[in-house]
Amino acid sequence: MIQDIKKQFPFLSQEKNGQPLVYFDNACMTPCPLPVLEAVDKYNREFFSCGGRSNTHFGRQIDNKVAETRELVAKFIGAGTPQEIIFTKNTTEGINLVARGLNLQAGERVLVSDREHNSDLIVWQVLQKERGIELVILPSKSDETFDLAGLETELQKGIKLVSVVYSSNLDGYTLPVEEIVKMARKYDALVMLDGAQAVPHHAVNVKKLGVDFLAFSGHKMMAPSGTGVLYGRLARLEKLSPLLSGGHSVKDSHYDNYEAEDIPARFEAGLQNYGGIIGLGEAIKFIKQVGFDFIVKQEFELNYFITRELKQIGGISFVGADDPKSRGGIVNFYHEKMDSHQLSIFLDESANILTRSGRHCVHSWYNSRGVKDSIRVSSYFYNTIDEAEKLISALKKILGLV
Amino acid sequence: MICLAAFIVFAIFGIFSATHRRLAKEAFWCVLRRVTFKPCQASIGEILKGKIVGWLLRRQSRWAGWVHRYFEVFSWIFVAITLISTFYTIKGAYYYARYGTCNPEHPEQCLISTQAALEKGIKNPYYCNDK
Repeated sequence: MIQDIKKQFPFLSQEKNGQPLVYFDNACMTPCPLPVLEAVDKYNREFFSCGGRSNTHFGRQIDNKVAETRELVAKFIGAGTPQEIIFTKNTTEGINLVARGLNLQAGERVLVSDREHNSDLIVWQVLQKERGIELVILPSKSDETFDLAGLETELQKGIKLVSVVYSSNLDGYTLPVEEIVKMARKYDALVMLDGAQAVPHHAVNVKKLGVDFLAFSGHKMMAPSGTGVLYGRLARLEKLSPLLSGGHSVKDSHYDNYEAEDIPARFEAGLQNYGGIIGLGEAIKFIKQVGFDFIVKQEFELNYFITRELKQIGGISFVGADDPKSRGGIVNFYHEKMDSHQLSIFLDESANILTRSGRHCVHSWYNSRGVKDSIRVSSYFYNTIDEAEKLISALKKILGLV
Repeated sequence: MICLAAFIVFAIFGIFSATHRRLAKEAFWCVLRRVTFKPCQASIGEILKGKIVGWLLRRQSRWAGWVHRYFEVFSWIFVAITLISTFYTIKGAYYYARYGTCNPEHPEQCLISTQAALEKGIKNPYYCNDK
């Protein structure tokens, strides 16, 4: 089945020096399958026009496609209504929209975990300086799992918003979000989840979770780059100020005032990435065809295999939680004698295996633990055990140099 | 110190090519970081090393280990060769511009001597010709 799926991805069929591409950087971006590429191409060739504005048949066609995608996304994540779906360009924009739109006041407290991507850390530090909000960083427990007791302690002191990563891009660890939301509700705190590494990999239902906001990226789930979604509960969105204002975010304007558009249009100022949005709709259909059962199972098998094999190579330390069961498709590690960047380049140049090296936009975690950097292997459902074996074999060869 | 060699090579190619100008700039920053002992993301030095060792890993993994371990030594040797050959190239170009031959003492040995220089049999420019 995987080989049939792989044929749908032209990007994955490339070769370099006679070696097939082995793509293990899915936590950064995922390639687009043919249905997505064809849909975007069709838009660009056949109805490339001004959506939401032009009263032409092309303009209406785009409006219909965007509405269709909005509905698809809403059903995909279990939202109550498509109105609760705002198209953004990535998770960072979604988080910033909430951070700035909540109009937090001086002294109000925002809690984040200690493994947040910079997209869910820096904006709060900026608001700390600009508005005097208080940023609370909740440390993980010694086994690198989330500290629920610590969360309750902080909630008792008063927290306006709990903004945490759903599944971490650092080590794939999925936080106990149901418990987090339940606890936050008890103390009237809002909850926002960074769903960039969660939504593409397992079923998410925002209504069942009861979360207030969820942001995720399309380019991590086989949609074109520059696509993303912010889900917000309608009651919350009604109180949120837009991040950007401009064309199509207003019903009417005069020189001295304006009338804002309805939700979600008021949060989507300017011409949108219509090709990307259409591609996002196709990507969701593709994921539904593959099925989350298969995705979860495949990622776990790959993670388990890679973790087991890496443990047999000396000098390797894992980043984050140790148990592959809690890590989704991500294995993050470093070697005591070889720089992670160099290791990643060697994998690329010697075996056409693509990984990511560095601090993965979670610099804070690395700085707090004195870890220089690491190499991250992030799989998706189209990766195979064969590819994992190639990775291990290449790693052994490269690490044999030191 | 491969960055230094890379900088020289890319800077020369960069006279003619925009791609190499970008690489020359990256190599320059790499050199700057090396001399000020600052860490890099993936510097051009690491990328070049990766390409060379990666190539060897595919073909001669025995040599890959040597090159990886002594890469800095090989880099310095390569830098020295590059600097020396750059010096002689510039010197040759200067002589050609001035005397029409890259080797005024033995113009017949220079591939690009002008006919006039060959006929004149230009001797060492620091001594007067015996005419």
